[in-house]
Amino acid sequence: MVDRSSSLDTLYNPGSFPINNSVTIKFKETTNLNIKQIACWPDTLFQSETYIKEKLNIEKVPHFNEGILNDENSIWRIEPLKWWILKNNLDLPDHLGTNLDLSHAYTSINITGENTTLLLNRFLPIDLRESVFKDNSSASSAIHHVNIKLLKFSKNNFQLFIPRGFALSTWEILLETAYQFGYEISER
Amino acid sequence: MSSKRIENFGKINRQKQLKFSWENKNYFGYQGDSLASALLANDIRVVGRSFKYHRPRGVMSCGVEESGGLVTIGTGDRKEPNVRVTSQELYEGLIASGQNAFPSVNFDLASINNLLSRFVPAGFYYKTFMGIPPFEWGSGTSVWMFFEKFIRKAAGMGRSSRLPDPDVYEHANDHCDILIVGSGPAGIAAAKEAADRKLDVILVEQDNMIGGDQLSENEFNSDEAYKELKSLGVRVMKRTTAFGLYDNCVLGLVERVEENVTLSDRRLPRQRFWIVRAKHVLIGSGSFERHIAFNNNDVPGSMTVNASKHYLNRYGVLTGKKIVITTNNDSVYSTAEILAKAGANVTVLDNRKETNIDLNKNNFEVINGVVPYNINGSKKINSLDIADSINSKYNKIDTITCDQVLMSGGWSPAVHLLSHRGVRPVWDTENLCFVPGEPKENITVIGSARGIWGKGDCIDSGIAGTLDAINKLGISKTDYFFPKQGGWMNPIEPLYEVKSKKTRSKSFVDFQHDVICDDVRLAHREGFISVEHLKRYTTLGMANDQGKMGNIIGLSLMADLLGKEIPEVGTTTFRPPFTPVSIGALAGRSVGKHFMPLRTTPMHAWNLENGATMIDAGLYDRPWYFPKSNETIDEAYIREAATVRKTVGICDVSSLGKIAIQGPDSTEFINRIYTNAFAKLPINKTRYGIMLRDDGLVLDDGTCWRLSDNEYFMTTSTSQAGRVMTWLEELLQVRWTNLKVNVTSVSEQWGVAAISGPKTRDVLSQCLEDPSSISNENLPFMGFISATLKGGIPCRIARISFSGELGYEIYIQADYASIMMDILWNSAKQFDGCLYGVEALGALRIEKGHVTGAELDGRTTIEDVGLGKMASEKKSYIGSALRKRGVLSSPDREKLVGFFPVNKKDTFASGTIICEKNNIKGFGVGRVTSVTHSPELGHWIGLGFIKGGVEEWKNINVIGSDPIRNKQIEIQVVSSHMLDPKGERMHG
Repeated sequence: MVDRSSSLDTLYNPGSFPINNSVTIKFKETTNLNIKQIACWPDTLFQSETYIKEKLNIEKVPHFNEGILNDENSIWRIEPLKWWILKNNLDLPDHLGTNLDLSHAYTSINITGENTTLLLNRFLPIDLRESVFKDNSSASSAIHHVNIKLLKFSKNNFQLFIPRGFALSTWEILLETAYQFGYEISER
Repeated sequence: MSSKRIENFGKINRQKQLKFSWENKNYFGYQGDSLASALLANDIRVVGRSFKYHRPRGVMSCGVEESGGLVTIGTGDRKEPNVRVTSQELYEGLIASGQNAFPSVNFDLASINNLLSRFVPAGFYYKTFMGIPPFEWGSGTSVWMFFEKFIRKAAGMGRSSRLPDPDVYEHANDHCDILIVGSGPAGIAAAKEAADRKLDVILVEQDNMIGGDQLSENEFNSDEAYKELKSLGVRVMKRTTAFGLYDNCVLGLVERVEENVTLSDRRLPRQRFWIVRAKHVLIGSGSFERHIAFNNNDVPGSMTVNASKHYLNRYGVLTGKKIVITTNNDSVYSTAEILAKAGANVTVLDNRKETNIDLNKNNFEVINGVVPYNINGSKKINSLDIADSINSKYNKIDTITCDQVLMSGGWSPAVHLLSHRGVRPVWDTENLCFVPGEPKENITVIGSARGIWGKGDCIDSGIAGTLDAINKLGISKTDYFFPKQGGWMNPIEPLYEVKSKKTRSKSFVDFQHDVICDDVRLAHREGFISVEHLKRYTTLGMANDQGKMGNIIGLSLMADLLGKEIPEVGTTTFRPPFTPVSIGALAGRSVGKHFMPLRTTPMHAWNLENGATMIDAGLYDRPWYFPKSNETIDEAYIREAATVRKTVGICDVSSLGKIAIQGPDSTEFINRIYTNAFAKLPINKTRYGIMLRDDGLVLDDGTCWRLSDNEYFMTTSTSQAGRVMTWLEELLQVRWTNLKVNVTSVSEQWGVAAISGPKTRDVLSQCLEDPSSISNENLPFMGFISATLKGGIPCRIARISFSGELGYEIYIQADYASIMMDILWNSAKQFDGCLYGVEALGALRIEKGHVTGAELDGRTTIEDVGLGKMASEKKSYIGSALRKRGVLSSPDREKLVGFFPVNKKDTFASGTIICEKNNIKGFGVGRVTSVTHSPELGHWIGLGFIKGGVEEWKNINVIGSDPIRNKQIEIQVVSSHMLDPKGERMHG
């Protein structure tokens, strides 16, 4: 199978771009995404949660806008009745819900560093303070009018999902904004 | 006024000298200076000209309420007009100049207006509409139209640069538990109290130093206060103005990130527009000192009392040698003492008969029962006429030689932010000011903004404010009390206007708009007695002053004229912004190439590498055409369309909307939204469908593929993709909640290439692992298959044709789209194929009579576009009832047709109006929606609508009228299927 391309290929230039000799934000595109969306209906929610727990061997299914991230699993409840499974594979049976591959629909960027929340809040109206947006939280919002999904892995460690077609434009405006903080783009 | 820098006062850094330019001359100031203090230190008296009368104006205050010193900063693309000298930080290389004056503010030819002032009273321009008496000559707009250009030239403020703003601005969001506006004694105390209680606190200060009114105290150390707050964890935002307070404690802030407009790195933001969501807001925005209206109270050298103290203790500038302070309250005495201590000769005129002030009066003189009557001087103060204040008769009793007159007519709490929330202020008869009303939201007013004057009381109010917030937020229950409003030893006495006995006096109420007391009286005489009418008729309190200086005086005058008390007259509502917000800050980064987010297809880079000229199509950047060397667009698209008809062409159509429809009720769902039957669509088959709006008009068209029993793949037009997706979600979430269907946009998941032309199958066969999969038998028209491109890349191929040729659409997972294009293009080149863009795509579909957004424009029915047979009579679907309304089924409606020019050399444009030959006017009988040159037919053709359709116009030519281009041509009405009407090519 041939290699997958990225929407950022033409503007992804790894390197360090400090300001006042300081780098406070690091970007790294996550390529070869695996996004499986599973969705159920209100009357199959309980059964679906039981099914997910059994199949993924997890104690509880994350609440809305939360996720579970460990060595085996990365599952995020991005809507009340929808989950994204990023690390492994799982299909809901037809009587419980639906399954959809979205692996090519998004461009994903890992953003870390001490000024990450400042950068994100230049666009996102979400309360990203440590006490509010805790580890393993997720949110749907918009950057420059483009709907995005944001996952928080740990303090100052976020994963941003941008619709593929808007990723190039969003990447540009993110870098322009990050200039004031000093940033680094890691190899993919 | 004779002002100068003096030693032992001020918080400026005298080690760092800064050079700046004023009116093309170089001067020096110090780090920490404002432009106002630097000008005063250089004894520059005239810094501006007034709005209407072009009277010389000097610095009149020390803050955002400044009305006299409005100047232009910078040059070229960084020229910024109407900047307050009092708010502008001095920096090395600052260039400032006066405005609204010619040739300079010191000598302004337009000052002749001052002599003609009787002809330009309040509302004079409204009267030009009424014509010139006695016969109202020119009533209407003609007189105004004549005078307008002169009036506009003579009036006004500075002029903006016509060049694009080169600076970067940005937006930002933040959240906190408590946001405190203002870093005066109350704000700092509140912040400390809240931080001690482990709350997340933001303290907003519009100045570049914290301290508020304490900055006018020589002993106050702003840096220490700042460090202490930071050490407590308070987030202090200096140079940040809270310009608006909105629902649920949302504040709009503007941060002046970088004052130095000569900044070399233009990638750094100059201003930042913040939206902060707080749980509780404490308003400690302070108060404004009022002036007093008396004749010539605007001569340079007039200033508020506290401002003079501020210039001395913050900037080390003594603003006068012989200073007269006029007042009606106690607040001036500490200033008098300090000014005298600094070396000025100070006289206090207090209109109160007796005062008991606990200060050392030995170094200045106090005269009670006396008011200012008239300032003598033009560009500087020579002397002040004074009057006694017995029974408010104001008889001139003496003249005092002086170079500065300081005024204090009382204090007005800055209630603006609370007013933004619709909270009406309440008149305090004891302190003669409006104090804030009781807010119903989580907002508390503290400090002098609450009408509390004493510093100790302000600190107590700040602490009480935090405790109030804690109680309201339910964090803890704590007892607290606010100090009583006021706090002076002697009661204030009313002193708003010292009415002159001169018939034509100039007692200014609003310095910025040249509103004088006589203007208020004129408004009263002419019936504009409502406070809102008064404001609009006289412009009192409008523009960037926003009632900070003259509002109370204007109200008091109107109250006097009406025989009412001030609270009965009311006060105008203050609206955001508190101070002007630059357009750049409002726009943020949404300018230039980021005006809108750019949307690209997965083949974007590939298209560019292969020579595409791009065009904006909605948010998308799409290939317009692929020119060969030196080809024009016309040459390119005609060649591309001809090549598709002759051999084969490839086009990126990834912008089509794509929606996954899944779930056991998907078939029922789809059957309800399309007009045609979908219930029996076989798996692996696709069908063209039309969906209507509720009102029976066409919403969109597209195809729908059945992937399995419970799963469909829908395509929509590019332009309606978002709307259709939203529509489907609404139907499922609001109307048909019982249907078990999930819809998800997969537009980004798939890249799509359309490949069309007689050689298509040959080209595509070379690209597939199994060429037989696309034979006519295995993949008939409107079928689709899952296939594998060479290299093992999975794809979906649908046999669909938009061009009218044998055609396929190949859907590929987006990350493989460029590779797919390589494979297809390498094969197509062997058959003399081409790449084609949206221009050729349009030409091909117009030849076939296929409709797009130009025809499905929200006004057409399914019958209008000739697809009435697709409207099922056997089922119910969205729009099925209302499409049968009489107005939508009238035989007189416009129907889709084709248009040929009778003279085949003629061209015509979209938007051309179709008229009967003998009746070329109005909306005509039809319209042209799309045009192109048809390579196949060899002339221009058009699609559009005409009343009755093609049957009504057999053998009757019409006129295509294009009034914009002043053009008319004779047109033949033909079938919309202008090429291959039986569809033999695409079924081939």
